[in-house]
Amino acid sequence: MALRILVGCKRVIDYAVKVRVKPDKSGVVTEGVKHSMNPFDEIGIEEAVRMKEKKLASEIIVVSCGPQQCQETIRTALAMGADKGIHIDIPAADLSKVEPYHISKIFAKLATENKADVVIVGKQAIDGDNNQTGQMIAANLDWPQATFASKIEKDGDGLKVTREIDGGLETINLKLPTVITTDLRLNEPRYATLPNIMKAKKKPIEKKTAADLGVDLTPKQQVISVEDPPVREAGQKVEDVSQLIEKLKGAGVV
Amino acid sequence: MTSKVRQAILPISRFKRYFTPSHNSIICTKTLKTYIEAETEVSNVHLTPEISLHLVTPNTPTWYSDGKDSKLFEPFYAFYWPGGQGLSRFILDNSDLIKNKNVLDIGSGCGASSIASIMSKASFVTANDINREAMVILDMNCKLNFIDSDAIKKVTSNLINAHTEYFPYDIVLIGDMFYDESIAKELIGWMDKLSKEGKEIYLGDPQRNDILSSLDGRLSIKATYNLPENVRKENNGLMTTKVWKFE
Repeated sequence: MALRILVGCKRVIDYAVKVRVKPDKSGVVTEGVKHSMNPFDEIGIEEAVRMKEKKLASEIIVVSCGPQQCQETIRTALAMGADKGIHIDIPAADLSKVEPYHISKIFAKLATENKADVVIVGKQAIDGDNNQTGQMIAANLDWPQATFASKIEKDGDGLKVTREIDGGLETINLKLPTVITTDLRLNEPRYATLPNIMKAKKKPIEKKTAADLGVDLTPKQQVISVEDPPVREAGQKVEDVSQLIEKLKGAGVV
Repeated sequence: MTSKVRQAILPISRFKRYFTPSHNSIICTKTLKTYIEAETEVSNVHLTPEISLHLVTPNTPTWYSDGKDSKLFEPFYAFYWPGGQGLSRFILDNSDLIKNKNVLDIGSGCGASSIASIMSKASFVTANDINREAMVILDMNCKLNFIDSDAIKKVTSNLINAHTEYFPYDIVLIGDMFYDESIAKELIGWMDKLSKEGKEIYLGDPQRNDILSSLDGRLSIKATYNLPENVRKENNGLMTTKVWKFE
């Protein structure tokens, strides 16, 4: 097996950063905030590299859509073991209007152009929590999909993927080409160490725009308002069950 | 610090001064040696355990850094790249090919292939690396292996594309130089000229990209080595390294 794998790596606000809503409620503050790679995409890249190490994959291409700084995210992916990067340049000002719909069109086009056998993306990005891109890529390409993967194995000419579902685990066999989205337990990504970072500087990154791929970025949705989640109010302590029932009755909930 | 600034500072090469990023200053050979000693360890955990080398390894903090806090500026020379490892292993195992020959080691880095050539009784060895720090670590690595450092001629001007007429070398070693497409392109043109002059060219490379497959008809495979686990960690995604002769 010598699969060509296309992997997404989205640049998002770092998971440790406290996100703040802009005063005009048009979105969240991103300027001057630490960004890093979406953790689910990191898992996707790790899996692709492991597939390369097992000789299942021959080439790993990573894609990131966004402003110039996305190239740093791509460099991290290259240091983890990906072979080359594609940066789809979308200015920071336009980025908040870009939806999974558009990203999925871009990925579908790149998957075809690069003759990818497998597309791997995170099950969701931790900024928008949309959980749509992978499914939409599969729909655009009319390829089978395995979402929320926790295990990927070779199975004849295809792949066997274990999925995390509400009731437990589901195992499905996939024909290639296919789209896979990663869940948290698929693997534990490696750190990019200095020797890998140094050699990754020489790996190629191709820069393109959505227009180059014939993808129109006109928004399909309109964001009306972005609000902070309600601040959690302080609770009350009760001594025993009877006091609890009393309080609940007082509040009129039982 | 951009390479242009670096080049502007470095022409004082005659005085053997070296640039460090964190100190933003120029240091002498002796200081560079203490930095190298502080940031590396002597390692034999690689494909040529008979050669001891000062290397950045998982036991040294620099390994885990992004390089910005290191006192060494992009220390390519403090790693034993897989292509060089395979090539050095091949040289040690096939000393009859090297014995009494005049050898040029392009992109010598830590100097392992040059040291291996001396161990295989080459009559003359030239280490070539445009990174002048590499020549300091080569000197240190020679000492570790009880080799007279003067036995290896050290050249820091770029010899890739050097005139092939009156070219004094019999054998050219190219270890792990195909990681950069622009260097690779230059090398391929030069290798073609060298081979026409009857020079023997050995390549060691872990195939980080497709470049070598474009040379398919001209490469004859000489050896394939599985990379030890620590070397695989240093080179995510790579499992083997190969040696070819270019003809």
